[in-house]
Amino acid sequence: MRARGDRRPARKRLDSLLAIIDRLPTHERDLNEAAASYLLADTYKLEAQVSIQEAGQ
Amino acid sequence: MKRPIALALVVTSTLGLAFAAPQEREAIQVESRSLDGELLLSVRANDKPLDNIIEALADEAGMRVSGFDGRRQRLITVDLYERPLDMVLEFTLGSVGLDFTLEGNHITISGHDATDRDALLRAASRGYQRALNTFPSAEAAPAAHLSQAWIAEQNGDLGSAIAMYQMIPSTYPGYPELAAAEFHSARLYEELGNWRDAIQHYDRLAELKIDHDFHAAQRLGRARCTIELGDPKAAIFQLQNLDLHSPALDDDEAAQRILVRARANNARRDYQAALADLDQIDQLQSYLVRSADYQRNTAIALEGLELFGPAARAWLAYAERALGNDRLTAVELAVELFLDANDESAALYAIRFGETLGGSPKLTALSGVIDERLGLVRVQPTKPTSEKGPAERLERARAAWQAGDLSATYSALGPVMNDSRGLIEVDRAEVLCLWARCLDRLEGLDAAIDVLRTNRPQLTSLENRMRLDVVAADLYEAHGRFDEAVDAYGGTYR
Repeated sequence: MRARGDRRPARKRLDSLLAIIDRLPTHERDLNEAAASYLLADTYKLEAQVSIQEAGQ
Repeated sequence: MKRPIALALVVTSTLGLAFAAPQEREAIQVESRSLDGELLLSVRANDKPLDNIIEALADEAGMRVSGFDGRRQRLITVDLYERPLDMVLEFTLGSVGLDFTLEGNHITISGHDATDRDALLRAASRGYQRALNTFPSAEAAPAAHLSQAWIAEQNGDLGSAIAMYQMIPSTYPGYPELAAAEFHSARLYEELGNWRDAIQHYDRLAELKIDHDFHAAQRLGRARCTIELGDPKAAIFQLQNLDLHSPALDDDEAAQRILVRARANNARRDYQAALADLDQIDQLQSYLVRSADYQRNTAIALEGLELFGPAARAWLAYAERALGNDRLTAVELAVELFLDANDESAALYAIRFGETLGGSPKLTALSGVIDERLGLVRVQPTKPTSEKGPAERLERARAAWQAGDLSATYSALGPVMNDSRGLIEVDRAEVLCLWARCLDRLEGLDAAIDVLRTNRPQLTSLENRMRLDVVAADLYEAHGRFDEAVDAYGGTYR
């Protein structure tokens, strides 16, 4: 989803996962929360890159 | 470690409770505790209306909520344990694509999350920072540092960007991101005109024992810096080596290398060779022929060969593509060269173009020369240069400084700092140096260094940048900050 450029739905799904992250056992929770947190920031960065590229064209 | 949360809500609603069935509200479990002064919230709700959850959280945190227009009925599931309020809100609202702001004791819900460039960059930076704070050892952490540096670069803060890139070698030695960190540090130092620092990082990149894709770019960057440091012959040798060991992958890469070679040939005063290089780029039909750098090198080569008319036209082409004060300087050069070529009408055209860029005293003076050559009587003679012109102000500031009159120096330079159009670059550098010395006395060292740091990249010539470096180093020394003084001589102000 993120690779296709469909970033807002991706963010919703990541936030939905993070909203229930404390249901997971500690180890899995930490792994998933870390991955989702970095991915969430990546979605904003990728969208900013597209915005900058479009403005430069 | 998790534990059940079982706090039935008995708080009477202040905003949205009237819309929720009592059993829904009761099933939302919220509690809080304070840890080291920070309020941590726990919440559990399964398929409950969003507004009920947010209002329950707000009640628990002693806050008010607004901005729910038409979005209150969405059902969501939340299960978070002892998290800061902003994190709980971010995950909860983010799961339905909403955003929020926290001001005082007020939560405002907004319709959608970041959309414009600046908001996206802010959101990305906030996200990376939170992730790095919470999970500094995660696999994605080094790449997040690269992203943070890139965001600083996009915001125009090259100094911070370099500092962030340089956190990677110390924090994550041996990681693949190290190569990108060294390459981008070098590239930014180059952009700032700090050639020695740039070379240092290009060399560190060359010494890395990890796989990366920056080999060709590293050698090309190093060659560019070598030219700027006054050794174009060595740069040409480096470029030959590069072509020998890593042939260009496509015409665009080949053109980039040839343009650096043209710059080296210009620096060696081998203008014929430079023109041949530029012609080769043209043959490759590269996009680079439309770049400011291409036009600048063309102008320098043609001027070197005393082909004044074509050189003037190339300077005009450069002026159309360049940024900042370089544009007017290029137009002034074009007018002078047209006059050398005895082409007064082209010179007049160039002057008109210069006027659209704001004009300058030098262009006004050159306009007078053209009128004289054409035998024209000036219907509206040029006004005598105002005593408040930038050149006169600089002269006044110089005299005041020599007389030890700090106040007069400061007041003479103030307007020039706001608008230095009409000054040639060496004079602009002198204005900056004097201004920094004034600020050092009046506002302190940081203010002085800040002016020098901010304006240094605007100066195109290495000599003028070095003038600023000397003043920065001098000021650091005067304050007993000798390490920083050494760095300032190298073009880095901390």
